[in-house]
Parts: sequence; structure tokens; C-alpha cells
Amino acid sequence: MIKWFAKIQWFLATATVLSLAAGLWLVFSAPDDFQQGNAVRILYVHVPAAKMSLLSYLLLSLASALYLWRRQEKWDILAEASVSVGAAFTALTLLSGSIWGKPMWGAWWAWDARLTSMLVLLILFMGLMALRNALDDPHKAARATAVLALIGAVDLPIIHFSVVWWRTLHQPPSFAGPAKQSITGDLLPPLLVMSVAFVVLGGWLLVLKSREIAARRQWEAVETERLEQNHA
Amino acid sequence: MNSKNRRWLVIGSVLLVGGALLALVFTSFTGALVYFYTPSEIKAKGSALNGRKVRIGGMVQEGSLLREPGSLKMRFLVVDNSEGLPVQYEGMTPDLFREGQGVIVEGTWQNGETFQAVTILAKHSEDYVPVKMSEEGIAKAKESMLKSLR
Repeated sequence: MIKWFAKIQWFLATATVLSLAAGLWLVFSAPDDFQQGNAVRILYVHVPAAKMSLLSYLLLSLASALYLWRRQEKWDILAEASVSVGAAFTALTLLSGSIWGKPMWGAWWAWDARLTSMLVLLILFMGLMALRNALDDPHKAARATAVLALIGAVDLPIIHFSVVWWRTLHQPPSFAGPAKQSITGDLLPPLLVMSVAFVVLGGWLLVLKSREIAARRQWEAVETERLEQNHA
Repeated sequence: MNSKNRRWLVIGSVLLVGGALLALVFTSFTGALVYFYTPSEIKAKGSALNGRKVRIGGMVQEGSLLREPGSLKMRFLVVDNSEGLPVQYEGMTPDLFREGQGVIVEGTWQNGETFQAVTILAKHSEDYVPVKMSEEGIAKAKESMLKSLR
């Protein structure tokens, strides 16, 4: 898997640059929103980043489950990489949402169900990093983080449905089935292209991070062996 | 216990804990996670909420917003699908605060007195519409806002 990652890395890098360029061009040429004016452009970063946060956690859950089942190191590498990527996208989601919230809602932050469950996601990602660093035995660390990641997956449906289940300050989803789509006309293409761009960006970051983790582990293994030989 | 059984034990317990958490969220937190009351709910509770800090959410009734010239004082009506609640406020308002838009007002409830808002938050609907199509957008936004207040 890691060798295959090295092959697609440059393809993903090129695709990221091109799709982000196209997306940003659309973002800045789109018309103003009838209520939000220019501030609507923040959502073209906020929404794709939020989707990538959830997608990263979904991938993390999948990799964790596969690791617990098969005990193959590649799944643990993928899990560790998706924690980093997911944390970055979650932080970007909270930050961009905050920047939008101040002028639009009149508040940087509100303890409503959507915002709180998203903050919990960031804490989960950071907790998983901390747990892995706290355990010296790499196999133990891999198992413990995989189990915690699967427990934390309960936050995903809570985030997704928070705006439907409870009354929140955050608006409900703009896409809910084929019948409901409340982003009109020229405001839609930038969101679609930016969503694609963020998926590609996430894939690229994941590949880079996975390769970095694999290389670091290999180096650590070599180093350990050398030290043991010196002792003997 | 062999390693295969152990593995299933781990997977099983993870599913159990996850399911339990989800059930807990569904059953006990549902009420507490509601960010605001609607005017109908607040009127039904009446004096039971006296002295309590509450958030009330609804739509700013069109034609109800009156600003006092030369000051930051204003009054308006917050409505849901059936009830309306008069609100007083003094201070800055968010960009999205306007008639026909969603709003959440925070303050201390005193039954029978005009609600004095300390904080105003604008609530955005899920509709995004280009400026050219404003008329259509205003109608859609109003409809989705009232739907979310049910």
C-alpha cells in the first residue's frame, strides 16, 4: 500500500493544485448571497472542510477495525495518518465557522449541539494522538488507539444529525435527499468544485503522512536493531 | 482464552459501549440539547420560568422592528408558527439581524413583562441564493425558518 502511495503522490499533488485553483476562481467569481453578501464565500472552505473531517474519521474507524481484525501494520499506519489529517480539517472547520459566525450570527462560538459535537471530534483526534504518544510499546499503542477510535465513532452520527435531532443555532443541512437542495444557481458550482478539491487535498495529505509514518517506523526499527547489536 | 476469542471480545465490547453511548444520547440528552425555546413553548411554560435565563428563537416579524432614533434601542416581535413575543433590546446587532430573518434572543424571563434581550444572535436558514434572486430567496428562507421552529 505504501509503495503504491508513492506512485500516486505526484498525481494527487497536481490534482490538488489544479482543482483548488479552479475552485478558488469559482469562489471569487460567484455572486454575493442575498442575505450574507460576501461572507458566503467562507462557506466554500467551511463546508468541504467539515465533510473532510467526518470522512477522515470514517476512514480512521475503517482502518482501526481492519487493524484489530487483521493485525497488519499498514492499517495502523493509515489510522495514524488519518488522525493527523482529520485533526487539521476539523480545526479548519471550527476556525472558518468561527470567522463566519462573528459577523453573521453575532458570536464567535455558541454551545449548540452541532458546534459542541464538532469540538468533541477535535478533542477525540487530539486524544488519539496523545494516547499513541503515551504508550511506549507500538503494538499496544496501535491496539489502544484503534479501540478508542472505534468508541469515538459514536460522535459521527451525532455530528451529522445534530441539526436535525435538536434545535440548534447552526442551520440544518442544505442537502437532504434529492428533493431538498437549498443552494441556488451560481452559488452551487464553487461548493461542488471546492468539495472535490478538498477530497483530493485530503487524499494527498493522507498519502504524504502515511509515507512519513512508514519511513519513520522503518528508521526506528533499524535504529533499535543497531542499538541491540552494539549491546551484544 | 485464545487470541481469536479475545479479538471478538474487544470488537464486541467496543460495539456495546458505542451503542450504549448512542442510546444514552437519544434518551436523556435530547431535552437538554435544545438550544432555544420557541415563543409558543415559552408562553406555555409562563411563570414557571420566572427569573431564569432563557434563549428564545423565532423569526423577526416583518414590519415589527422599531428602532428609537438617536439610540441603539429597538423593539420587535419574535414569532413562530402560531405565537409572537415582543422583545426589547439595546445594543449592536449582527449583520444578519433583520425583519423576516431568524433570531435568537437571550435574557432573563419575567412572565407578564416585555422580554428584555441582553444578547441577540441571528439565525441563518439553510438557503443560499444569489443576490439577483433575492425575492425568491426571502420566501424560501422564511419557509425553512418556520419549518425549523416546529
